[in-house]
Amino acid sequence: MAYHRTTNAFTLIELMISILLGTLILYTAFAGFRTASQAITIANSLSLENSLLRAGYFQVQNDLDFWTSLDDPNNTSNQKLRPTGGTWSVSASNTIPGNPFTPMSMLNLANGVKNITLRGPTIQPAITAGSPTTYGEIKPRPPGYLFGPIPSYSDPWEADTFFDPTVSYSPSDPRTWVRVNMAEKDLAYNGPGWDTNPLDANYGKQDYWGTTPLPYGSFVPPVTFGRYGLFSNLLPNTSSQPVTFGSWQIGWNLNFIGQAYSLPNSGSNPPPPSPPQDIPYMVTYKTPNLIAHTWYPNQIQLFLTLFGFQAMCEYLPPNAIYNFYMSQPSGMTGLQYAGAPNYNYTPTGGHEPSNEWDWGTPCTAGGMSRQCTQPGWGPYWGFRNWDGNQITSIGMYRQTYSTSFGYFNPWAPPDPNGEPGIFPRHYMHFDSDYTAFSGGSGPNGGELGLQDLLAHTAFEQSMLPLEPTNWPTVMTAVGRLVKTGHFVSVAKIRRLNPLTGATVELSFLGLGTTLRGARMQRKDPTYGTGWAHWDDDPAVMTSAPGPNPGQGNEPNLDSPTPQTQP
Amino acid sequence: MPMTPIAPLIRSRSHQRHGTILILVAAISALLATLCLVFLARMRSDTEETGVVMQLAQAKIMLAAACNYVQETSRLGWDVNYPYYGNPSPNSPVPNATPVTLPNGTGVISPTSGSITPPSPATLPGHQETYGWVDVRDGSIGPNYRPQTANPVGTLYSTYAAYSNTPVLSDGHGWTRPYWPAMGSVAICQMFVMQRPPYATQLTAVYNPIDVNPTDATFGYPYTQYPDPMPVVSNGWPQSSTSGTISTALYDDGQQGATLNDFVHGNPTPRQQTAGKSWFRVYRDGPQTFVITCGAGGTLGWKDWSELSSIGGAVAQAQFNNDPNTFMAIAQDEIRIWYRIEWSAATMELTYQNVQTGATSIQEHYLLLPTNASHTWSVAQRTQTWAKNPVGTIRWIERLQTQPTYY
Repeated sequence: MAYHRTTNAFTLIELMISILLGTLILYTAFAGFRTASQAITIANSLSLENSLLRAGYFQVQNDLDFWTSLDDPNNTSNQKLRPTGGTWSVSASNTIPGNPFTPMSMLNLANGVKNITLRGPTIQPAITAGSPTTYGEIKPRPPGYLFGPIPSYSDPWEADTFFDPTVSYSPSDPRTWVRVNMAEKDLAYNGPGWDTNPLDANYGKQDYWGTTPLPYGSFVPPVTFGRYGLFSNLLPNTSSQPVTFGSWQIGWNLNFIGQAYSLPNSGSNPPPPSPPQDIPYMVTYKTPNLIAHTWYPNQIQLFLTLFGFQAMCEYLPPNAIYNFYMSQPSGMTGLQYAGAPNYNYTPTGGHEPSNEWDWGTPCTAGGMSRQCTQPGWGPYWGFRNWDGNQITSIGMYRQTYSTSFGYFNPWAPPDPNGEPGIFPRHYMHFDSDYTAFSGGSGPNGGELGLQDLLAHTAFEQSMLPLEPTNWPTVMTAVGRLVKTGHFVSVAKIRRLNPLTGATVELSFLGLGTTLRGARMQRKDPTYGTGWAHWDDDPAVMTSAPGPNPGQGNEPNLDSPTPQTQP
Repeated sequence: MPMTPIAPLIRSRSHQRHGTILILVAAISALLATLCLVFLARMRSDTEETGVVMQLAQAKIMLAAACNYVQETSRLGWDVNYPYYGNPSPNSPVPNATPVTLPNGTGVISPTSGSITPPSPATLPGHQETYGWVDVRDGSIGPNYRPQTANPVGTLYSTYAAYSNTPVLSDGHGWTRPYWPAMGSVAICQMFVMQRPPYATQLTAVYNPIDVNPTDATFGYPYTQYPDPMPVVSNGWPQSSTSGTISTALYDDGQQGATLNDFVHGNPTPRQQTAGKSWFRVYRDGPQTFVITCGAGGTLGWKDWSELSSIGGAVAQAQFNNDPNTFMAIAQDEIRIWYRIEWSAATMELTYQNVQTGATSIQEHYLLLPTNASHTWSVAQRTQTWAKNPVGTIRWIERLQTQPTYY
């Protein structure tokens, strides 16, 4: 009889196999789940990183269009670029300079209300077909002046001395034509490093009116090609604002060839040859000489102290020449104004060079603005850079190809070595080309100057300051500067994963709102904070408060005069 | 005692184990499937969100395109017959063949008296240079053509307006606007890639290679026997031989209706993969100010169905299956942002180097040198030829907070 044992349990082998299989299954399940879970975690992490990168992209695009990293119209604590110059040292007789977001009306009031008439609304024809005739409309000066009377100082278009946002800066308008003598150069400037004249025994020591005579060869008389200040100047030379034109020696005095030369006409160091071999050409000017063109000089001088140097480049057209004729201090022969205001800030100590650059005179012998023409003249190297090392008229290209201006983020930390704050930086030029490799000195010179420029314009800020610590950090920045005549907006997005250390950075050149556009986006603080409303519907605009009777659209930071709330 | 059959028991336990495994495998599979679905959903969500990034980028690119458009059209390329074509879609690259009545406001304008003498379209040549949105010569509202007749006595010049202020196009909301480029008009520009753009030339690098066969009589001679370059559309210009017959029709069939085959008009049919991506509109709200609408989506730049129907007509409606809801659905997925810009005729200042000193520094071109410039070195590369700009500049750009009423 066969024996069959009833199987009521697993054998050891079966148990081991089953445990093994079960473990295998469990391990597989666990491993699968774990892998899937890790995949999900990684996917979520990547998704979060990508989401933050996208958010950073939207952030910089938003900033390119609305400039909120520099000025937030809805947050008064982030309007650090609105006050005027404040503590920056300027002489009492000068205008009070502003920051890039200082309201135009505030600057107008701070400096005494300038002569300005908003002429745009009076220009015809009105625009039809749904388009408004109201504030926000910008029109060219109406034609007709080409066939009209000869422009004179009585031309009201020339008399404006402040910014008019309702009239376009059209090259067809004669008042926008620069009338400085492009060939005029003040060679009496003998700063160290660029006067290579071996005859100059007074190298680096001499100014034009100094007691130490300049040797012949290092001096060209001013106004060699004529006195262009007669045509265009800050003031029209009227009875209320008289101008005295002094006599000037125009030609070369051949009596002094090879000898020391003393000016003007002292004639005794050394004595001239006897008998004289030649007679210098002397010229005097009758008075009154009514100066027809005063608008352009006033615009240039205005923007030199309005919002900073890059803003000047934006508000003035790209074909502008940054120079004008102005007054000379009393006691000098040459162009003189009686009681003429001196709008330009002058070196007042501190960081400006204390050597021969500090002449303290706001204009050259020919009447050119020294701030516009003389390299390094003014605080922190002033406006004019060293391109060419010449005292001449220049425009935006030469002013920005070896150096740059910028808009500086007020949240960037101050430099540890006590260099200038955000406000002066808007009135400085920074080495940004080959000059950055030449070892320049000062806060804005050489490679340190370039670093300063980039660190303060493209200052990176955290997009989510209160984010969880294990989240990726996203830093964004939009740096705005002008380089070689180009306005550059560099957008940066940097994402750092604190767990892995991986860093991703996107950077691109963006196109968006310009400074003037950003200022027009913001409401004039007379009306409170926030964005300025604008619409091209006449009905909307006439029902909203505006700067002009019967016209709407809220005044913005470019509105030149404070308006009364209707 | 009967034996207990073991086989069924074993089979039963085996079935139980099979079921357990099945359940485990099914659960794991379900879990993995769920995770995969979640993963895919996440990826899809990311992709959709990235799509918005792409749309915004497209829209911002449209801002650059619109600025370029405003600059270019300030000076170049206005077809003097343009205002005379009553095309229902005035910005179509293919104008109607039949001229319509000359609108009021165009013609010879005397700058002194302001009198207008309508010209005959037939007497006007084709594309002409104009002088800016605000005429750089006298500040009048442009764009204006050059004079076609003798100047009136006592005037510097006479001119033609390249626009008509007559309102002709109704948007269906009570706004009747003139043809582009008059003030108050709108240009709609769809930024697809054409199958073949106007004036397309071949990519051939060398049309007249020097003969390298020593046995040929022309060996080594740099003959320029064939035109260089040549159009993509063969117009009969000789290529491989000198016996070709030039085809006027294939050069410009505008007089007989654009057939998509000629050199001048090209084939403006969109390339499929580029259609419906982006567009921009330009509303001229002042002499030199413009409201720019930047769009990334498939509405082809139409503001709404009402405008599409009123101005675009049946042709435009058919592009959306004659269904307003389809148009609205597409519009809802679209990004639209608005800017206002100002154009200026001003270009670079003259202290920039005005002659090409970099390549030919020892030559005198008798052009204006920047006075007092120190960078006229033999190695200098500063020259105005690197910075050509005949089309003016953009004075400022303002992103509008809200959608304006008119655009």
